[in-house]
Amino acid sequence: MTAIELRGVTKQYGDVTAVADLDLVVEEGSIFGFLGPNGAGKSTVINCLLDYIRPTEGQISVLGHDAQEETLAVRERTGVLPQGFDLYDRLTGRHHLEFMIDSTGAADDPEAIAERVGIGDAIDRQVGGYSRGMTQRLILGTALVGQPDLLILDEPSTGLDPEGAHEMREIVRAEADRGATVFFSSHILGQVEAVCDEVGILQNGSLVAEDTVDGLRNAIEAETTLTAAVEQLPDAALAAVRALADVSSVSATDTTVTVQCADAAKMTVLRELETAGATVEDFELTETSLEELFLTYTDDETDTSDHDRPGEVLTQ
Amino acid sequence: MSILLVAKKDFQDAIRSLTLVAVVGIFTAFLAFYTYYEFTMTPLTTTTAFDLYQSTANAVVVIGTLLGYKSIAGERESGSLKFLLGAPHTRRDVVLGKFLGRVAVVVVTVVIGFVVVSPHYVMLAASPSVTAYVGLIGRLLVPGVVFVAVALALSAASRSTTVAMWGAIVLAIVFAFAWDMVRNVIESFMLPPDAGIPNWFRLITRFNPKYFYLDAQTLELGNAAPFYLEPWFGGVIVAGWLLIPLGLAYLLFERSDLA
Repeated sequence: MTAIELRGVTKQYGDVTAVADLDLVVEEGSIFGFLGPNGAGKSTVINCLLDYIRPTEGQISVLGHDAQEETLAVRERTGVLPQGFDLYDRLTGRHHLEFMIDSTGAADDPEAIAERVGIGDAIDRQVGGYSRGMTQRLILGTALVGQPDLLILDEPSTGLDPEGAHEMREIVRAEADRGATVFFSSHILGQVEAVCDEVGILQNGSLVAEDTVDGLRNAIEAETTLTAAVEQLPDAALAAVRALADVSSVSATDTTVTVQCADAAKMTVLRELETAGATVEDFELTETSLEELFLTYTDDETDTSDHDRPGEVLTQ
Repeated sequence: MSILLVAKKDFQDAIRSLTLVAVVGIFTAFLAFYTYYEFTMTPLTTTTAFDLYQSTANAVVVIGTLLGYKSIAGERESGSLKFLLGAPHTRRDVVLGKFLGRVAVVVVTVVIGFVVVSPHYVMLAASPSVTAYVGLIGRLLVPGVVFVAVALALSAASRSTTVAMWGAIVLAIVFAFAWDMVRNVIESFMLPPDAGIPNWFRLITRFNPKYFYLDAQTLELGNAAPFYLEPWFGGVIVAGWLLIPLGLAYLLFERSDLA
C-alpha cells in the first residue's frame, strides 16, 4: 500500500512554478524524509497534500483518498504539523489538545500527550506565553492525537534546541514503530539521515534524488572530494574539469579547486587541471559525506546564510 | 458536530479577548447614557423601550461588523487556519462554525449590555414592560447577526485583513449611517410632497437589515399593502442577507489557496 502518491503534480503562482510535474510515492509504514533547501517547494507539496492549496495540475492520493476531493477522510487519519502556523494565544495548551481530541473523537488524555511532548507543566498556561519551541511541541502533541495513520511534519524541528530535536526524532521513531507512516520535511540533512528509511531531495520544485539513506550512501561511497591548491587558475581549467564524465561538482576560490568526482577519476582531474594551465602545488583527498552530497544536489540555489547551513546542525 | 466544535473554540477564544471586554463596556455605557437621554430629554411624548432601537441598532451593526471582519482573514494571515484545518474539519465547517461562534459573541455582548442597564430602564420608564424590553433585544439582534454574516463573508473572501477591514468599514458606514441620510434627503426633497411615501420606497428602506421589521403593521398601512410589506417578507430579506453573502464567500473560500 502507498500512503502518499503524487502523479504529475504542478503548482504555479502566476509565472512562477513552485512545483513542476512531480511524481512521488511514499510506502505505508515508512519514515520518509523530504529534503531540500528553503524555497525548493517542500511546503507547497505538503500544503497540497493537506488541501491548504490546490495543485494547478496532477493527482494526489493520501491514504488511498483523493487529497482534493476527500479532504475530510484524509484529515481524519492524518496528524499535521504545518509550517508557518499559529495557535490561539488566549487559549491554553489544554484547550488546544482538547479541541483536537474532540475533533477527532479520540479517547486521548491531554495531560499524557502534553507530558509526552515535554510541555506537561505548561499545559494550563495560555499559548501566548509559550516560547517558539513550546508552541512547536504543542502542535506536535495535537498531531499525535488519535494515533493517526499518517504524520505529516513540515520542518518539525523549527525552534527546537538540539535536545528538543532529538526528542522529536524519538517520537517520530516511536510513531513509526506503532505502524504510522511519517512524512517529514527538512532543510537539514542530519535530522533526516538519523531517522528516515527513505529520502527524497527536492530542488527547484523537482525531485533530484529519491532513495534509501543507505542507497544514497552507497551511491557516494565511490565519490571522493579532491581539494587542489593551484598557483593560478585559468577559467578554462574549471570548464575543462566540469566537462569530465565522472565529476559531479566543481567549486573554486582564487587558488583552491574543490572537485567531487568518482574515486577512479581523481588522476584524470589532476591531469586535466595541469593541461589547462593550472599548476597544482598540493592536493588532498577526502571521502564525500552525505552532507556534501546533499549540498551537491542543492548547490546552485542553497541559501548559504549561517542559519541554514546544513553542516551547522550536523556538527552540533 | 464539526461546526459546533469550531464554534465553541471560536467563542472560547473570543470571550478572552480584551478588545471584547472593551466593546462590551463601551456598549453598556452607551446604552446607559442613551436610555437616560431618551427617557428624560423628550418629555413631550411617551417614550417606550422601542424608542431605544434606532441608535442602538447602529451600535449593534458596528459591533457585528467588528466581530466579523477579522474572523477568517485574521486566521488565514496568522496561520492558525492551518491548525484548524489540520483537524478533521472542512472549509465549510470553518465558515459556519466561525459564524455561529461570532453570533454567540454578539448575543452575549448585547444581552450583557441590556441586563446591566435594565434597572436603569425600570426606574426611568413610565410603565416598564419586560415584553417590550425583551422584544427590543430580540429585534436588535437581527442586524447584529446579519452584519456578523456580511463581515465574516468579506473576511472569508479576502486574502488580507486590511481588505476585509476596509470592506467592513464601508459596509458599517453605508448601512448604519449613510442609508438614513440618503433616505431622508430623498424623502424630503425628491418625492412629491403630498402624495405620501410610495410603497417601493418603503421596500427600499426595508432592504437595510436594520429596518427588516418595517411591515404593513408597524407602518399602520391597513390591508392594502403589497406582499413585500407583509411581516413574512422581513424574514425573506434577513434570510437573503445571511445566505447570499455567506454562500458567495464560501464558494470563494472553498476554491482559494489558504497558504
